[in-house]
Amino acid sequence: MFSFRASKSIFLLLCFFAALSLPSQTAGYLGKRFITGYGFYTSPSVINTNGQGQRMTEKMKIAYSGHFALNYIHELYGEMAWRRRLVIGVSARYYKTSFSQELEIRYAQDAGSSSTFNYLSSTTHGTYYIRGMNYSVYLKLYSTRYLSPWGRYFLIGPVFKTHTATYSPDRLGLTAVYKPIPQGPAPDFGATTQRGISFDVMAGFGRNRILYDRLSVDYGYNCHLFGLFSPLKDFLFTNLTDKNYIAVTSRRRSYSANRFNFFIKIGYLF
Amino acid sequence: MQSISSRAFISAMMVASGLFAQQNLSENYVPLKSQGTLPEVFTQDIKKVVKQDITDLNKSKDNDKNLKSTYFTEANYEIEKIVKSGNTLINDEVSLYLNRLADVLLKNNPTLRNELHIYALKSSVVNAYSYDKGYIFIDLGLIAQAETEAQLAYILSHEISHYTKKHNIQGYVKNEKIDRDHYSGKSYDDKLLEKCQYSKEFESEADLEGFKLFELSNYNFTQAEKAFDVLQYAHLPFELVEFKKSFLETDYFKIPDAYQLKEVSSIKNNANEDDSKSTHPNTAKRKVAIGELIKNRNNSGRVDYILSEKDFMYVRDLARFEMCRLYLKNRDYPNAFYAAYILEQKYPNNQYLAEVISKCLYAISLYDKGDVRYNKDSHLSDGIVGHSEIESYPQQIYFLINKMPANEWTIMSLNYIYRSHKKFPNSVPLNAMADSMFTLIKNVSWGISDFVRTDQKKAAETVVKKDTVVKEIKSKTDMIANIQQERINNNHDTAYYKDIYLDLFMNDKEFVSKFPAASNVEFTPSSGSGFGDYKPSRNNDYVKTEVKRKKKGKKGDNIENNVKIEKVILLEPFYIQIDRAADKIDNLSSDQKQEKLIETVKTIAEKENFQTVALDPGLLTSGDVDKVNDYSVLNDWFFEKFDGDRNSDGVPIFNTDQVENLVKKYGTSYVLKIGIISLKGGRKRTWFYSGIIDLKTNKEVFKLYEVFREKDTRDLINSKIYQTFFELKHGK
Repeated sequence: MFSFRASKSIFLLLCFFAALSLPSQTAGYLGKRFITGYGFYTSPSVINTNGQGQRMTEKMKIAYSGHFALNYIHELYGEMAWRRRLVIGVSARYYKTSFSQELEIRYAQDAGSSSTFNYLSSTTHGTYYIRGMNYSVYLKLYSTRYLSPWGRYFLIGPVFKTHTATYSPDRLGLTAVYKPIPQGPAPDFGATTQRGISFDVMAGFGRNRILYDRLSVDYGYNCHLFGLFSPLKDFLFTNLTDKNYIAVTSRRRSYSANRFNFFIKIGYLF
Repeated sequence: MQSISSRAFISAMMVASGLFAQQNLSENYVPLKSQGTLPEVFTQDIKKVVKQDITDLNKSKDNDKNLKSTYFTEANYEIEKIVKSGNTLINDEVSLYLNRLADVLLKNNPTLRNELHIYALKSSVVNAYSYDKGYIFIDLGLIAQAETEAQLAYILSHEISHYTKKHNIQGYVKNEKIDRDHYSGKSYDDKLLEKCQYSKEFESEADLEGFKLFELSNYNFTQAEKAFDVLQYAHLPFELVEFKKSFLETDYFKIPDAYQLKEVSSIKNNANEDDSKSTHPNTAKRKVAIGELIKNRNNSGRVDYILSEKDFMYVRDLARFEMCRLYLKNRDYPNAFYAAYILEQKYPNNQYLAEVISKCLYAISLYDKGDVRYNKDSHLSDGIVGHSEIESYPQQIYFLINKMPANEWTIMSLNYIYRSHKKFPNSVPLNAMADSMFTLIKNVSWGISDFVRTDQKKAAETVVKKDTVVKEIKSKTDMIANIQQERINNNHDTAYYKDIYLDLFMNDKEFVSKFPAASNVEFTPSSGSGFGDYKPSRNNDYVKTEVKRKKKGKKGDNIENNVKIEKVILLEPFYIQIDRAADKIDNLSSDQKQEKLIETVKTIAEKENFQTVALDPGLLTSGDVDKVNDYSVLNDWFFEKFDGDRNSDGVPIFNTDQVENLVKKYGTSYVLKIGIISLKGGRKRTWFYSGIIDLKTNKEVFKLYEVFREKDTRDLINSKIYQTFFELKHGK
């Protein structure tokens, strides 16, 4: 009867109008319940930020390279005061980043026979680029004394993340650690454009201020819970090879860009 | 400014038009109210006034400009606060009389007379105050104590002299200088002594200057000296008469002599008390100083009354009637009782006095039961004290209250209240109190059968015998129960109050029908069922409800907040901004923020289609005198309700019977109070309070009290006010 896309749209519309029309006992700010606006997220990267073969934690565990990097994420969001202390929101976030760390990988070299390979330890060099989009639905639970959308809140919600990594074979290669890589097949980093998806749970704390009864200024911090533990998983379970290098590191980068962020959001209240 | 002649003309017109026709105090008393046109202070923009004062100050050559500009700010706000407090009487009989006295004193000085604004202040304190700009306030407590018109005239002269000598501003500047002197090494006590010394000098100067003014009129000099006696004994009631227990007795009820204190203590003479840490010289010194002045003056032909002795006595009686009301407001029931008792000697058929005495008797019954309580924040922080802490004849009332057991007090109270109700059948409070007493009497271990036993002696004897012999003693506990029963029966037959209602049981069908049938019935107070109903609503499991409330309070949650209300009387919202650095209220900032708060409340209420009736002295026009009176009634009501106990739900309010009319007038029984206190400088804190009291049930039906560790930002205030109206309208 309806296509999947049409059904989804109808469902969303129904939800929207239900929220508008049902007696929800929602207070809002002076009766205004909706906010839409732009958000800016940022987090500092203090480890391995330079991508030039220098590790910031090489000596004394103190960064020395002087490369202080910030991740930037841009967001468009919409929120609705649903209950006295509850706001429901949707957001789409966009970020652009690169990956240029020198990582040790296991490079499989053909030893002449189809059944035997020599695995050589090598490090990557070069940079590839990542663009990511996060889609999330979240709830903001306001502290007892506050009235949504004004006040201090705790935020939680699922995040659906997609990212696209692109590289140029000319700018991404391997460097042998112990001896020169013998002639053989070039390292296989896979397709030059690779897409990845991942799922996470976002949680955070913030404060919503209302200026001039119209302007919402929202600030705070949030983190992606799976992102917090992703380094552990990588350390324990992931073997980097040339074939999974882009997929693993782009996902890792995606996690790290979203792991912990400070944010400020400016919205229009209506 | 009005001239004296025009002022006198207006007063005369008011009297002639019957606006101030004297009350017939022998029958009833109607509490004092403001009348006529409101003075300028109600309608002026205080910020402009302060600004103008400071501009004028800056034009002058003065070394203390900074201090004085602070003084002008604080003094203007202080005056406005007093005038708009609801306690200041405007154009009422007493204030007009005081102004007539001023006319007499200043008949040769019309310029000075025109600068003065004299008001009576509804306060039981015996004092008077003079402020900058000629504002003079005289407490009703002082008027009630004055013995003659001349004494009152001298006190007024004294206050006028404070104004002419500008003691207020001088005192402020001197005190501030002493406080700010950090380098002299003076201790706190040294500074206090120094400040008191200055103050005493001002008082002595006002005494002498006041006398000069007083001298210009034809008042008796000796009355100026006697005025100090009035001040010396101001802690005593306005008259001292023996309290005779016969006042509460009837032909069928005689109070045992053991309950009557025969010898009362003498009155201490504190005239020569150490006044080193007092702002006023002791009365002995002041009296001597005035005595020296009048010693060589010819006092012949001088009189105690220039206006009229009759008028003075009438005005003083009005003040004394008000004292009964003010004592009730302060929940000082023994003093209210004694004041009414004194007046009752003069006006035995006055309904208002019967109501006051009935309220006191009933309130003390509740006090004995624990339903009326006091704490350290109450006006009477120690509650009803023992008689030894009181002087002279009032001791007898305190003695009776403390000596008579609670049950007997209740029995006696019902007797007085019911008989008063029969005497004044149209009195709503008496009718309601009588009904409530019938409920309260259930708590007494005497039932109708006990009281009527006397009338049916034979039957009663049979009952006694039955009670004592029928039961077969099988065990020790049976024997104890029998002995106790015997004792109760014997007590009932020998109790002095057994016949107290005899004539009522014989002749009064209403009494018989209302009297509870069974004794020992557990007292189950109602939750209050409307106006004039004096039933206490605090129930016996008060402790449990108290604990629940505290738990809720911790969360900062509301009390019930499930009521849906669409119309409220909005009492003046308050906004207090405290400057932590200066350790005082920032009046200017508070005033500005209060204006914004009022505007916000109004806007949000309109937005939510919420009907509010503002009772706000800050929003009045000169013709809104009725609103001033209504505001005063509500303020008194709140004062009594929250006297030392924020959780005083359901405790009967004895003072303000006029609340019922007010509710009818405004069409709602809900009163909304909104207030904000914020700290600036140092750590930021904001307290927000909004609460609704139902005047019908005496209960706080809605409360939002929250503390924020942040500034009083606009979004905070808007949100909380919006939340208040939203939850009131839609429920939580």
